[in-house]
Amino acid sequence: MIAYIAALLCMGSVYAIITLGYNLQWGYTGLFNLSVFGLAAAGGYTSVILTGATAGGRLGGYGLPFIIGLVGAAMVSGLLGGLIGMATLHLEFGFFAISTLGLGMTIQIILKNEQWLSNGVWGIGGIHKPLSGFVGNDLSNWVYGILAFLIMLLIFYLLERVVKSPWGRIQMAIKEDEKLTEMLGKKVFSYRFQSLVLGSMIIGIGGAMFAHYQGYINPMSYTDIMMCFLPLLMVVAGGSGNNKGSIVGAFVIWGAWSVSEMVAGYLPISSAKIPHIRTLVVGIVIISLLRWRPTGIIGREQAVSSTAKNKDIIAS
Amino acid sequence: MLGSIVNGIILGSIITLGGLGISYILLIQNYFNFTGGTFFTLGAYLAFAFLSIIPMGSFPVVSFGPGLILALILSMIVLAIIMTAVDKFLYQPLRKRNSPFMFFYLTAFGMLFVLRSLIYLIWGPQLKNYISGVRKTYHLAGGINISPDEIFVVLATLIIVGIVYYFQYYTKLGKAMLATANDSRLAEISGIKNKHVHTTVTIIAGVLTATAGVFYGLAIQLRPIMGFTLLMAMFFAVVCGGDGAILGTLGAGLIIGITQEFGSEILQVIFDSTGIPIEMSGYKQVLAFLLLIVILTTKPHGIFQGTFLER
Repeated sequence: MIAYIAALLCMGSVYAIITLGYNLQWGYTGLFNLSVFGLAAAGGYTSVILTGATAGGRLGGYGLPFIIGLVGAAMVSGLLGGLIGMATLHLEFGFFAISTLGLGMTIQIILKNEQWLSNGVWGIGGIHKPLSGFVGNDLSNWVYGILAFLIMLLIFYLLERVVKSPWGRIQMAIKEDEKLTEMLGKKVFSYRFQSLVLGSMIIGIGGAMFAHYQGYINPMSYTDIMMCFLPLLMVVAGGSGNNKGSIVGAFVIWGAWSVSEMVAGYLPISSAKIPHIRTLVVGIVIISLLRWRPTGIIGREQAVSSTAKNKDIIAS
Repeated sequence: MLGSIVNGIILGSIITLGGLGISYILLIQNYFNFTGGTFFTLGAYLAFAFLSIIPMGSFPVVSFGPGLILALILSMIVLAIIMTAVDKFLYQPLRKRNSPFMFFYLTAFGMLFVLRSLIYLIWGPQLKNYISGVRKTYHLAGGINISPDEIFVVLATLIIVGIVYYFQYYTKLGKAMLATANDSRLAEISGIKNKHVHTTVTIIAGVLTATAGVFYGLAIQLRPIMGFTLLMAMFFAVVCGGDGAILGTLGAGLIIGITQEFGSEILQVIFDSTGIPIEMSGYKQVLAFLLLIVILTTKPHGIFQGTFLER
């Protein structure tokens, strides 16, 4: 039970980081980014390659400290987000969604195929948890959980500062009324681009934290279900455009998800079917939320634009 | 080399049909249907389920029988019903309360995972085939291996595209759809029932998607993830075809099919001769994605003349 709470603290914080990044893009600016799994994978692999002690025939083995790994992860993910943004952000909403989905799939295919980079489908093991050398194996999850939670709080604090600033209000205005914002002389493309890159960097950090918690990653650690669909549900459940809601959503949804795994062990279902049943339930939950309660559990705190009469625009 | 061009044409016909299913939803209901690829898979698996009840029988030249045609028709009907039900239950309330388009995408994205997990739950992750045993294959000069089934797929695609084209531009219902796509309020004033148009569009999309899925299963094989891997290619066909123009989608579908098969082979030869260690067979989807990005940045309204509304 105690071990479960430690694991919940680790994974909940990791997901909260990813969800915060996603919430900036989707909840505040209204970018439907579907490459979260690719960006998280890019961040995770970057951090592992930078901090790993041994290479074993692939790129890596630089043995740099953990914090450099996080910075590298943020930079690589931000770069990828920036590239896709430059190519497609000036287009319509749908085109952007398609191309980001393609970017995510592309990153996953590259990680699967290029053995010199990522060791292919065999993955990379033996990833160090930071500080685990000092406290031993029993406490390492607790230490890592607290560390992840603190990093998450730091990101939350910075993001709150950012979204409460004029910059953040412009992002919300873009989501609610793009034309009006443009008429006020704000460069919509540039603001969207900044939000996309900043969000991608945070997602990259989340992916790196995930890799260091798991200790072993392969391309399938970052599937579209676990790393794109689940964060999406967390954002929507917590209420899009609400950072506190994202954190609550992340912990609640991850708690339910991990408990469902334990419960499913007692049910008379073959173990091969359990993941699909859980995905099915998550899908039904997300669709029902959109259908009946688009504001999420908590909902957005405020709307900046009084022209946003449509309740859904404020809610989304 | 020539063989991969033929394979590309076959894949391109399948992509065309799937792309048309997506483009119909896009034009009338204004969102890119992410679920399109998964409906495609569902259609193929539905036909597989019907084939376990219906005896296959046999046709003279091809290796399938009348059972497959019957299963195809049943699968079309069932998929059209499923898609209409999804549309009525999930998208109609969104349209009614005038939701922003992101809600449509989010719902479509959720449906993708619901359907995918259902397919995994019911049919499992194994590969499946409609036809057990060896297929009849002709070995022609130039390394072309083609089976009569594949010729059937290409010919049937051309016929279906022709029928859809005729329906769209020469019948009253098709013209009503064009009017709704252009200006739904004006169309409603002139007596066209918007609701009926939405239902018709969904049914057409269902029929086309189911056909595409069954053709994929017939020409290649059944996999639970097959529609999702073709999704980028279908989107390319829709975008490059010129806002979903019917003949444009056919052209763009053939382009992307041939690029995926023939182009990847050419690139493999180039990479091998220059010593770049890239195995192209894993990157066919990426090729479709890169082409999509190129089209979106240079010509976001397609490379063919005309659009869906103005052919």
